[in-house]
Amino acid sequence: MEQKNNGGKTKYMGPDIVFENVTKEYDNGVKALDSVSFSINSGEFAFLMGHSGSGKSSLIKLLMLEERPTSGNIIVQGTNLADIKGANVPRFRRNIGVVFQDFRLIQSKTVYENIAFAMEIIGSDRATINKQVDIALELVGLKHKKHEKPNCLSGGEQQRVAIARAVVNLPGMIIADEPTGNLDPDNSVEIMQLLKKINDMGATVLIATHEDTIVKNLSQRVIQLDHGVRQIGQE
Amino acid sequence: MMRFIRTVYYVLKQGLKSICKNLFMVSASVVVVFATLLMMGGLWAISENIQFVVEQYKERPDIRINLHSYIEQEEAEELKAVLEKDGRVKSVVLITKEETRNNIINFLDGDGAGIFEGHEESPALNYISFDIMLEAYTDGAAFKAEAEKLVSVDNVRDTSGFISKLEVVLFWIRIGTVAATVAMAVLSVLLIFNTVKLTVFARKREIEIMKYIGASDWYICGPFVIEGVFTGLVGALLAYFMLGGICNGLYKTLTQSNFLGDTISLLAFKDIDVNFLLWYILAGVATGVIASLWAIRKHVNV
Ligand SMILES: Nc1ncnc2c1ncn2[C@@H]1O[C@H](COP(=O)(O)OP(=O)(O)OP(=O)(O)O)[C@@H](O)[C@H]1O
Ligand SMILES: [Mg+2]
Repeated sequence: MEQKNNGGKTKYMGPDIVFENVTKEYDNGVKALDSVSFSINSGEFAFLMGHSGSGKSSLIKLLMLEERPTSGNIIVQGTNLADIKGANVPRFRRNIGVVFQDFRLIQSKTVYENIAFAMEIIGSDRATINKQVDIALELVGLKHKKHEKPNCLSGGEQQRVAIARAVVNLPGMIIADEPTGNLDPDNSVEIMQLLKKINDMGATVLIATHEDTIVKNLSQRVIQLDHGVRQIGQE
Repeated sequence: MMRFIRTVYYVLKQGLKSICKNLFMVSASVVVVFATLLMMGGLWAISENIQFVVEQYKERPDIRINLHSYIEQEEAEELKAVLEKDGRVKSVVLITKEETRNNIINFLDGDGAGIFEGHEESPALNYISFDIMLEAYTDGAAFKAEAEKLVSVDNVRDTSGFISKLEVVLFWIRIGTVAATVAMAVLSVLLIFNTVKLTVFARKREIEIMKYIGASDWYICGPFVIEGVFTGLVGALLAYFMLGGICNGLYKTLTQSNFLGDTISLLAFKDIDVNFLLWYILAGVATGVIASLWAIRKHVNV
């Protein structure tokens, strides 16, 4: 499965994600991010680490355009996010696969329907949907659970379904906020390895987590966050 | 383009599914839309009919003056000339003794049983009358009072008052129609709004997820709007056929029962039905769409 999808546009060669002095202050005065700067290259795998309240989720919300920065610039694949407005927000989000701690699957839909859903919203035809869903399920190793409902699956399995949904449209980038936060250590390792596998296929991957052991074992780049970026580790 | 058509198809499917899931509340909304439109149409049909009756009455003489039986044609012609010069009078028609007699006999003895045989010369059947049309806005009662003072006049009948009373009734029915329609329309919007709000609430998490994976606003709103359109459409269709049925039924009963006499006719449903179906559908669908968009705007904050 080819993870890079540049939609026929001329390929952008610079870094995938750039934060330039990004500050996020919420309405209640809490400064979640204070002048954060870093960049992530295309095809890179990076962990976003920091203690609770250090602003990891805030950073991801900014990337998903759920929140807007108080100041500073965020550039994703060459586009300044400040320029993306209105109907272009959902279009932008389709280019990023996102995974959450609480899986966020639709309980009333089967595994297949949950994944297919992400393709229906962009108007893919049924044959393509079936093919892609099968490939995604194969990738996460859940083909045999295709017609189960999420509540019949274990946490690890549910998270793998969420990952399948995140990759089914072949986005260039996967972002995960504490994807292993609700999982036991074995499952956590499996999920991280799965995300690494997707990265190996070409997708840029950014994972917010505070699981030191897994991070150490995978020995990938770490962006340490403490309201501002404190340290940018490389392997 | 194909992608667009396919997303429309997915949205439609989602909307229909949501209707099936919510059948009870959707039915309640349909009933309210139906009741609103039926009441609106019913009141409208009533006022159209009253208007029609008023117009029929307006074509009739406002004042009927009956002269004493001993007044002969020549004297009556002179009086007619005097009446015609009166500024309030639009037209005067003289009805001769013979015509009066024939009219009365025809009216009371239509099947020719001969109940008046031998009484043809009775003064009760032989008098001259004037049918007078007054100019608009003339005080019929005052004119009647004046006419009654004339020596040759036996009695005067004034029907102009009846029409103005009918017109007052008509006016209030029309006001009532507007007021009741506004009230019921507000009720419909509120009910559909609440129904859709319930659906939105039940699917809040799903909507959140849809937003994360990049569903556009119209893709998210579409199913709810379809729910509203469906409610309005079904309500409108039901109301239309119900109204047609009731109107035709009443028309048949009233015209056949002779309740109104031969002199007054009513409008059948097909005479009132000026694109009713179209207006009903427009009103119903507009109500549904407004209510559901309002419900989503408030709760999804798209
Ligand atoms: N919507 C909000 N309004 C106000 N303050 C907020 C909001 N979201 C987050 N915060 C505050 O911003 C700070 C950073 O929160 P954030 O959720 O980004 O941290 P985090 O690194 O993800 O923490 P955790 O590891 O616990 O998930 C916290 O102090 C939090 O209370
Ligand atoms: Mg967090």
